[in-house]
Amino acid sequence: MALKRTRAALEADLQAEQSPYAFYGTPLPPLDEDVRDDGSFVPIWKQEVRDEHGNKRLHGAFTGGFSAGYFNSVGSKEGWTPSTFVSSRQNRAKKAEQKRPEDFMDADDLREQEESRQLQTADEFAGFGSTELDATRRAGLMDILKTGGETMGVKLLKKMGWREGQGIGPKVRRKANLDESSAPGGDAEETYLFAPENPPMVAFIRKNDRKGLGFEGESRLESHNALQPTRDVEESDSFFGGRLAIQGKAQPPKPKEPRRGGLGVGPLNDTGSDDEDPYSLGPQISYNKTIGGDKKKKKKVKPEPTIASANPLLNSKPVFISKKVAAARGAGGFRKCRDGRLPLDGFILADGIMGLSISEKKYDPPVIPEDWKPAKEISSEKRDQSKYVSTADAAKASTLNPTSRAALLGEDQLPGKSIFDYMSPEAREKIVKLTGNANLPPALGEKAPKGYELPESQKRKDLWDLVPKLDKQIAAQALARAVSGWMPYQEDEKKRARYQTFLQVSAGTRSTLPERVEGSSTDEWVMEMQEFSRAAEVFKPMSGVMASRFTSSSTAPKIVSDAPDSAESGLSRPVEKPDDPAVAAAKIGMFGPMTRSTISFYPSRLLCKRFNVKPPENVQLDPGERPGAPSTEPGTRFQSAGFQAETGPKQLVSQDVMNQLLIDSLGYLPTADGLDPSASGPVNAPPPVVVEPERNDALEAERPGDAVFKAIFGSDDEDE
Amino acid sequence: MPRTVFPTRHIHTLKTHNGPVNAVTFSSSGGTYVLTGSSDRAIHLSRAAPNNSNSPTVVETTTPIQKYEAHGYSVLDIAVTADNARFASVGGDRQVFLWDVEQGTTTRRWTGHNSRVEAVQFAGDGDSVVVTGSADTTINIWDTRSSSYKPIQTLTEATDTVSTLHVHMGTYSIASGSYDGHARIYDVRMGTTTVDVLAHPVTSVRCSSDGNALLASTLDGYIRLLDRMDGKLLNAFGGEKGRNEKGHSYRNSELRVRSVFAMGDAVVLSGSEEGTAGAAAFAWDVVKGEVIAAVPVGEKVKAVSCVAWNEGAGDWAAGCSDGAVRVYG
Repeated sequence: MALKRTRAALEADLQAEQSPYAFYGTPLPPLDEDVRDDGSFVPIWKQEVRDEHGNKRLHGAFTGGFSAGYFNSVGSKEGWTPSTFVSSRQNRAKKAEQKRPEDFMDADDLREQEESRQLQTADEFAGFGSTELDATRRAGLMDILKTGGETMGVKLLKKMGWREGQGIGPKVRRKANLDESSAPGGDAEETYLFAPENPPMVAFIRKNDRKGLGFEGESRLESHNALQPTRDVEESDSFFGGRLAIQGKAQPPKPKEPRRGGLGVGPLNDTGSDDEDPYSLGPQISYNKTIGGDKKKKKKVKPEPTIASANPLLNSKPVFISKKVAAARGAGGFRKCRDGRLPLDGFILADGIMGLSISEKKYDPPVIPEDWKPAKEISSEKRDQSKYVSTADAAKASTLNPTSRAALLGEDQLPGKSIFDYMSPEAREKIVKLTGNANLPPALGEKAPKGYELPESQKRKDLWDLVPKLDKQIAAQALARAVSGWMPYQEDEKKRARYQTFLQVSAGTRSTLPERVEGSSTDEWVMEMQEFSRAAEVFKPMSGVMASRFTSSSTAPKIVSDAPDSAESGLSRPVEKPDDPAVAAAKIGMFGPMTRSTISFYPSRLLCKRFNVKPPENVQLDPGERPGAPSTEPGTRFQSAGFQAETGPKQLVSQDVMNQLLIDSLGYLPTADGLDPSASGPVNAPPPVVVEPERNDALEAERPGDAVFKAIFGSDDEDE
Repeated sequence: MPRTVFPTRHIHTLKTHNGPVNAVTFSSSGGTYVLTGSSDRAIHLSRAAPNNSNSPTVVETTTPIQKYEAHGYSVLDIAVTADNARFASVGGDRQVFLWDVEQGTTTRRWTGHNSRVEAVQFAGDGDSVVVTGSADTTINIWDTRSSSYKPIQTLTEATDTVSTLHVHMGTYSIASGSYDGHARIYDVRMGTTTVDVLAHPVTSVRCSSDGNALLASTLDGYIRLLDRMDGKLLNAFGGEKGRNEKGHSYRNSELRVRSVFAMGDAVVLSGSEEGTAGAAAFAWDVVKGEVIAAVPVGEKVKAVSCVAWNEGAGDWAAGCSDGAVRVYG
């Protein structure tokens, strides 16, 4: 046994030496003294089998079996055998724990039970979709949504005092109608208030005989005797199929009535199939076989309203309807006409007849004699199609113009002249181009009629009106800058010259009209002048747009107080302005200070290292200690830096003494930036920022002479 | 030996690409080779001048010396180091690739842009830094020496795609042009950013070799030469003056067309969009502003999107939208 290591020893070994391998995946839960690892080894005899409820399931089932049956099947010692129920006054039997059937079910049973529980519409409401009641439903749309129980209408009526069996309406004062036999012509006795008789339902009597409309024949007599004028037809009333079922119970069936085809099956109804028995009888219960018993029942039923669904009990009773009857009701029954109404009394739909093969021959259309010819001839066939010209085409083909038409009609020419008569050919061309209509009258270029001619001075004045008004001051200022070479339109010298002339005219130093490009129209000339005017406005120095190019000193410290990172983004804002005058200036070709702006750039130290340059001043500072000072606005930046130094912790030694000490030790006075004094000259003397509205050095600087320009870009060869 | 006449003789056609050429770069010092990047997602290394350069006819080359294929989208810009050992390329796949020229494999791939990368340049001492401009409106500066996967710095001033970059190490500055109509020059030494408003999307920026002027192409059809000192316009090329007698006129209204200085900053060379008679490359005299050459590249070519001037051999290459790179000398 010395060779065998215990498991504990093995595990200890494994933990002791760190495994050299990298592991992948979720690690096992941490080792615990009491609890074994999930994945650790457990001998079989220690393993337990439990089901999903946590019950022990394998009670030695594989080793012998008794306990399996004992525990698993029932769950009690007694199993299925009930113990004797004993309960006395002193010792009340405890109410046995109510066991649900589920408690005795296994997984399969539970699943079956789950499956058998299906949610579905109750039959009465399964109006659509179910095919169960098809046979009866086909009779009419009204059956579709019929419910078995009390309808809402009945409920409402009951709330209003109506009771089943009564008619609807105000109460009627009449004699008591005690006996049927005494009903007609009884003596005038006491009168009582009675619920009204139910109004007779409109009956749709199926007419399938060939008697005249409304002719009732002997059946009328019959019905009078029977004291039920409408009821006898109801058996064939397919529209209210449900009612038939009710009445069918109460009424003696009329098994054979040869004159009416409703119930019996005549040869016409025979579909020829043998398998269904047309006289098949339903269950006993649906037929009344004794006449006497019927009488009594009828009495009870008599005041029954004809509303079919009034009595839910009756409706829900099973009633046998033979297949044949249902089919006949469906096919030949009262169907609505195409307009949604029922056919006229005594008529049935033609489709119904079509099914009866017997009628086909009888109503054949008359046979047309073979040699018959219609008297009317179609004349259009004889017309020559090719020569047909529509009115519109004819009008198009015509070469006449309004003038010639007027001549044909003998109309006099109107005295007025067309506007085209005064137009120059160029103006006409313009209109032709714009409208795309080349068919305009010729331009005659006539002079204005005598007396209407514009005097020359007026013409000049009109042209002057076209020249856009530019403030004299602005023009003069723009001109002053133009002298120093600060001019838009540097790409186009001629245009620049025109611009200059325009400015001179606007400034009042020139009295002639501004020049125009050779061959350009007045419109183009005016457009160009408007552009010049705008350019001069943009260029207006140190007022309006131009002033916005500068940041006033009061706003600068705010930026400084920010962190250097945010200062960078804050500074770049003016450049990104959507309505930037710089863009406007660039668009008119006025490059220079207007389009130029400088912002800080904070190259990272590594970048500076890679570029092999000393980091610029603003980067050399540690951003955590002092905010960077971009070189663009030295005044404000350094001022604020100095300001911060002053508000620092109050010195134990005064500033002057400190400075003296530093100068002694270092040889120079370190500035707030901690730089070499030569590099931070401006610190000691922050130049006051003076914004002169009338003067801008950047703007008024001389343009470098051509010599400089040539020196830079002239090729070596030219120099030689 | 500087030449006095702008060379316009078509000597070589590189038909190695299947898609429009977006970037053309000569190898550094000498310019024997040319690197071309195309929308067909490949970068090709070819000889700039044909082997028999004295051939009277145009030599056509169809196979490159080396193909560099790793991009999954169009290649939009290429930059070569001064020692020709490495080059960087960017494109639609939002990554910046640093290649080893000899191995033909990428040595670094930086991921950090959120949109296509439009421009790349080497910068710093010994080309230790790669600067990239992207359609995510940022400029990222990557370190080639450390193994960090993050950029050294991200410049976020632009409000639209940064379409072009140019590093001028003489002034330690990075010039950038953006579709927001601004040209920004970041001066690393001074810690300032100079913003020039051009009012139209900028498609190309170049600093003159002395660092005093900035050449900027914009989509209004002008190439402007701005004084870097004060932002004044020194000269403008294009527009009415771009028309020559053959009917070729400089156009740049919707494509990213590059322009460069040529012949020792005496000439401005630019591609162009298709005019009335096919696209052409244009050369202007810097001082006079006149067109000194309009070189048609072909009737059916829609645009010359990029040009590169090779100071060493005095020739230049034009990358065309038909997939060909034409070398003139």
